[in-house]
Amino acid sequence: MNKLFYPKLALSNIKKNGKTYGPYILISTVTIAMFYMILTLSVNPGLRDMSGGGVMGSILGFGTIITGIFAIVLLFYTNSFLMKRRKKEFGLLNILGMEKRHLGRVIFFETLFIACVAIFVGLLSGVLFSKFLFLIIQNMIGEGITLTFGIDVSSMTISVAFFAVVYLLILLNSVIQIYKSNPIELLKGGQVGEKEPKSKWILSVIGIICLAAGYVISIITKQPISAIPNFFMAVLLVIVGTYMVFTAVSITALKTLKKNKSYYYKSNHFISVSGMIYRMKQNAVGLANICILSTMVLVMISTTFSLFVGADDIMTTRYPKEFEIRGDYQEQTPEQVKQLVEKIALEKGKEITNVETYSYLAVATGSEENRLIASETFSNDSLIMNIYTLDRYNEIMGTNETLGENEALFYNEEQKLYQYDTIDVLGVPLNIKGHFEAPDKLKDLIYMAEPCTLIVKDVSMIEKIQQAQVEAFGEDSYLTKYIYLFDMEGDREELQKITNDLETERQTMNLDTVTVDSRVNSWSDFMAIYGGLFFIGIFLGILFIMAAIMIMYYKQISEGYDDKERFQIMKKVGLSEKEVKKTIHSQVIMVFFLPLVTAIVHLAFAFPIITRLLAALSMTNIALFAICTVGCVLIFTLFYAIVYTLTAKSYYKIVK
Amino acid sequence: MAILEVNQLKKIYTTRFGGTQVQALSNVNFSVEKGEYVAIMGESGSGKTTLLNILASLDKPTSGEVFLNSRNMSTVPEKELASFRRENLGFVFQDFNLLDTFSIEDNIFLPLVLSGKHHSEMQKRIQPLAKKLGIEEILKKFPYEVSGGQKQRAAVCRALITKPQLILADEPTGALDSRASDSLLDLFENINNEGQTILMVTHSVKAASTAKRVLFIKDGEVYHQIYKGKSSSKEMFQKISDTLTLIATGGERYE
Repeated sequence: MNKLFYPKLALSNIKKNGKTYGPYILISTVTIAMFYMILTLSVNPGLRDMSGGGVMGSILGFGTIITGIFAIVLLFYTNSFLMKRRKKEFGLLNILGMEKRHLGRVIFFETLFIACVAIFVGLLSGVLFSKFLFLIIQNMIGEGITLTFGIDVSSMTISVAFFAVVYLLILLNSVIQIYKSNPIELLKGGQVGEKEPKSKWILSVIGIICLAAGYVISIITKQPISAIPNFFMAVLLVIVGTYMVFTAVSITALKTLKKNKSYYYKSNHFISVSGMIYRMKQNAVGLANICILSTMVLVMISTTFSLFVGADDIMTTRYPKEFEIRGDYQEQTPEQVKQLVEKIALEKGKEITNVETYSYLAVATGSEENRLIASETFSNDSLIMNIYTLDRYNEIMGTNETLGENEALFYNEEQKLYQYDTIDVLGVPLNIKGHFEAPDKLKDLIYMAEPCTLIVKDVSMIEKIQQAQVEAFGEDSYLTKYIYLFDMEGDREELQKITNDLETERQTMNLDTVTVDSRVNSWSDFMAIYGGLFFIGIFLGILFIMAAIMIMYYKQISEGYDDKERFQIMKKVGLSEKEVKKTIHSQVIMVFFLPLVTAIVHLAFAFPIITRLLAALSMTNIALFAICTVGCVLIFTLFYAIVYTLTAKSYYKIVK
Repeated sequence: MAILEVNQLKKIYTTRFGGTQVQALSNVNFSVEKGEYVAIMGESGSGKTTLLNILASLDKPTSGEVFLNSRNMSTVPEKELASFRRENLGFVFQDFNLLDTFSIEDNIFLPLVLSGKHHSEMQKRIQPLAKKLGIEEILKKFPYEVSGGQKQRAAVCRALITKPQLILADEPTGALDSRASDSLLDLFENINNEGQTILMVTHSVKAASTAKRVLFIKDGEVYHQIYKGKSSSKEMFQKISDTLTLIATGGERYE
């Protein structure tokens, strides 16, 4: 036999199945290109050198891993779909006299061709587009970063090796599938008798419980510290719940509808209910996948986008004033800090404005009734108590409250310990004069535990508690902090210079416990983190959207082939073409938009817990986040609708 | 009174780009009386299926007319065509055409549901029919769970449940084994004896021999016809075979 027979056959097979193989090759190419781009970006030396580049690098590294895992899943899914569609073809070749090892050879060449084309074109476009990508990043993060563009050989090698392994696994999987089946089975291919699915009450109930639990967790989580583990718990529950709702609840619900005879035997319900039962049976997992991917895209893009856009806000939350000088409180500290700042101001001929100073102590304790006690482990009973002086309280609240020596005001979001008139803080007894609603400034948002605030008479009382704390926890316990905040006029460069001068002066003054910080100083760090997150959000978002489109496209095609026959029978039995079209159309729309609607519901319920997570990242502008979320949903819906129209076209082409 | 009348029916297929023309029917004339059981025979390519499609209003003739119950089918507006078909015609196909997403019962109900009948009415109609057709036991099953003969009887039940003027059967025994074929043909005879008009297209001599009249189509025309009269099915079988041999060997045309 001609040596070139198998390669030729493989090539013509790919051409013949262009409608399904085209998108597969395309998505392979894009995935490879994206993998290469994010890999080469994460190891770019320019990125490592910029301030905050380390964080960005690890965010991107994480993104690379996700892209890799996702590539495997996506390519496997697509390939197994293709193999299923082609079973008949293989069965025919098998019956015409090709042995399974010959089929294996054909598949080997097919996979080889596809892999070569996809890897070559993927890397080529990866190299070209990475230039473009670098420009975007540079723009997003601003100055302070110079990305060197070039052909990154080591990233290329990794990409080639990685995808070579992926394709090898795919090949193995296909060959195993062929070997496991017999010719008759192959010939029959997809059309094995479709059983009507049974109602799955238990799974439905579990699914609904999972979903509800996930939603409830999201709503009731109030503390940023528990938000992170709770968030992952909720995500897990919702994912499991989504799969069950799509696979079990949908069918159970439809079957219940079917049992209701007077509802079911109506011309517009009859066909759609029974049709939907089958569609859900065949597509439930695919739809759940689309739903989860869509939710991920929406959550990722809306959060990272709002962080990016809200960076200014976040900066002002984190740095209420341009400059922040922070040190351990000692009697002489306020005076020293003042000297430091005034000296620099004089040198620069600048005015110090909006000065705000205060002391506070943060104490982490466990609680037993009304006693706050030393506790090494962090648990649900833990409290983080921020203790401020009455001066600070009156200044911020605009009141004229007075307190006696051992009196205190107390605030706690969950009103824990509100029933006690006295609280014992590590052995220091305090009479609670009253409770109040603390504004953000009197909570320390940097800590992620439940913010408790205690207002005491003056610094001496704070020091007394600190003393008790040192006794309880030893030397490495928190110390009372002294904070000096102020503004100064100037552009970014000037402000950066002032920050540097303050820092040098601090060193010459030997203020060891004092740190100098400013908004300008952290700006690039911030942008590295939030820009990086946003970038990853968009990057993975695009990848996930692509996967969703892919799943939709193949779903439409496979449904089209199934529906074609049904369409014709219905016409023969006495449905007009218009009616058939209408019922098919309504079912297709329902199946198509179900995942989107579910995703939006998920997102709505995720909203509360995400705001807590964002609060942990100092992003407290809920309105902004809400706007970003709604914006993302709208854009995504529009996009989804476009994809629908495009894929529906190929569907109707098949059905006709 | 003639239930179906076909006058000078002609159908020419043109290939997509207007190249070659194929004449499927050249000049078909015949009529079917109420209560008749007519079989149409012909070789592959003789135009049987085209004729049936036109009678079923799934296809339009190039020229000529079809009257169903004295109504010219070409005057039925497109919108009403589906419901017209549903109410006046019952179909039995070679490959059953049952929807695999419905149980046998629901498949039978399909035309009634489409006509907006009430569920209790459907139940009332299906009971005696299912009993007569011997499919009571399988009503709740799905098409992939039952045999070919049972599927075909279910399809007959679906055709009969609308109480149509005319049953059109396209090779109804084509996909059945001989036993299932025999019982289906018995069934056809029975329902015909009860007054149901049947028009069947087939190239099975056995199937045709149960009919009261057999029309032979050749090259798009009705070439010959024989009446069963008082003869038995066996004699009819012989007559049909002879006629077919005559047609195949190119005997003289007589009428």
